[in-house]
Amino acid sequence: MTHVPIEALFAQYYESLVRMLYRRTGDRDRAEDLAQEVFARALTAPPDNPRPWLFAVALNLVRDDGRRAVRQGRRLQLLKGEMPAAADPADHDYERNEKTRTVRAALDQLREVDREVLLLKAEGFDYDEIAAATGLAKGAIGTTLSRARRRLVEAYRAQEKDRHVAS
Amino acid sequence: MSHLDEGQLTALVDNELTAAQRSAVEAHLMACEECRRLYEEVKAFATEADGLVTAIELPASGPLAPLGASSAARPPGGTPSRPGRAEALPLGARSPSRRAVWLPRWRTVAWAASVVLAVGLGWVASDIRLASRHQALGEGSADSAPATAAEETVALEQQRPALLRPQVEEKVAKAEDRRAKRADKVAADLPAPPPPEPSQPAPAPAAAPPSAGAAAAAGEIDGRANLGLLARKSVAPPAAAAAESAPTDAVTQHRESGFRQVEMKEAVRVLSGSIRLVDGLQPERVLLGPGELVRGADRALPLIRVVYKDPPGREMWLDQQRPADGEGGRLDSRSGLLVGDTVVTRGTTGSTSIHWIDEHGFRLALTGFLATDSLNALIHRVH
Repeated sequence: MTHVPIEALFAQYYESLVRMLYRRTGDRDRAEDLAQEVFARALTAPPDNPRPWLFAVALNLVRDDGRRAVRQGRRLQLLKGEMPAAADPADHDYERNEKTRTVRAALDQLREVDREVLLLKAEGFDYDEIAAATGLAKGAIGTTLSRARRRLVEAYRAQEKDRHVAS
Repeated sequence: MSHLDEGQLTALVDNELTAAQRSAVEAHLMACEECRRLYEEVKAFATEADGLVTAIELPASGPLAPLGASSAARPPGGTPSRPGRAEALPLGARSPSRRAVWLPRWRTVAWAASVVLAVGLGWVASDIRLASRHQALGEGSADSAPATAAEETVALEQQRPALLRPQVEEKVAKAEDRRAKRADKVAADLPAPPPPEPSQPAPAPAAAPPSAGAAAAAGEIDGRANLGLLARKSVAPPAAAAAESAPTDAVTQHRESGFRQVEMKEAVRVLSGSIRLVDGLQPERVLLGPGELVRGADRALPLIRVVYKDPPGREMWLDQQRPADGEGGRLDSRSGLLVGDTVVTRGTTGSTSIHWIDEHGFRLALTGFLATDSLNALIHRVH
């Protein structure tokens, strides 16, 4: 099978990969690091079916990296700092940030597989690709997605409710 | 047929069923109210959940696809999709292992980014002497960028490891001392020019030449605000200050010297029918001045400055010039900037400017006292 040149893969999937990883990790630097690592691996072992392969590797890496990050208490964003984001209200739109935080908190409550199918779907994966990337059977994707969506929405609503009560 | 399960209904919502499966499911839905209700529920959850996930957007900082991602990946509207590219890539705070893997490509990118940065700084530096002369003569000069090579050095050094900073700062402090002494001397030597017309932009340097020696010395002196104010205090008549457009303090007065306040519609007319604004922010005032007042701008073209207040209440301003007919496009031939490239410079009073061009060739610079990341975020809102 002819492999797609790595440059073409990079041009085609890097942005989507970083976005997915950012949604998963909440840390852009880390997302970019992981994405670069994915392509480094693709360079040494060119995949036949690149898109699901790249995202599957990315999801594996993020799981491993997440465990490491917890151990090390790493906060890469602090290294960037000119100024803490909280000190600068112009950095981001407040409401959007709040929503992002709430969605991420809701995502964190899901099972790993639920989170992954949602993130892959958000990147435009079809059921075949989601199955290839997650190792699930294609016939199980609809059910998994349905459950994941429901749980995400319920978790999000609960978070919102808590936030309003707290404020 | 038994009731449909959520998996089938989700596959229907996601358009993942074959034609035969779809027909069967739709036929069942026609006949089964319970499944129809479930379908509506599944569809609502799908819409809401997918919307929640996609609501998490990538923050705007640094280059996203540095290895030659297609230009199609850039968003429409000319907003730079990779703010900070020229700044971020050469700094390359990347892990050694990754750099080793991507070395050939990173080298290419770093080279390209260096060229962009060098061209940008060269473009910016080309106007430094003129700006310095203007200020030494008491003429208006923009505060949107560093006015000396030394400060340019500081701007660059701020992006290098902190270990280098003390040495640089020490050198700059000594240089500033020397300049301050020369400034006193030059200001004392400068002849008083005739009062400028209140409504006129600052005269060209040739219009009121000081002595050759003073001009040469003034050219060496940076255009810092303190010198500009000193020179103005010595030689500029009060009428010049009165003509300024509602200066709020000495720094603003200095910064806006040579500009005049105009109505928004006049600014739009000057820009041939369209103006760039920062979404979500209310302009404080709109100014018009010659391009020569702002470093990095095209001197032959008028420049529009839209002044805003940032959330902490400090001023920030968006400078813009429309390219002359026949110019413009994705490459600014004058600066070498491509759409999506940015150049970051530091100003004399702690301001930061981000320069870029949009897809219509507008030369834009957003200057303020926010952190670079914040300004980067804001330039996404310039439309």
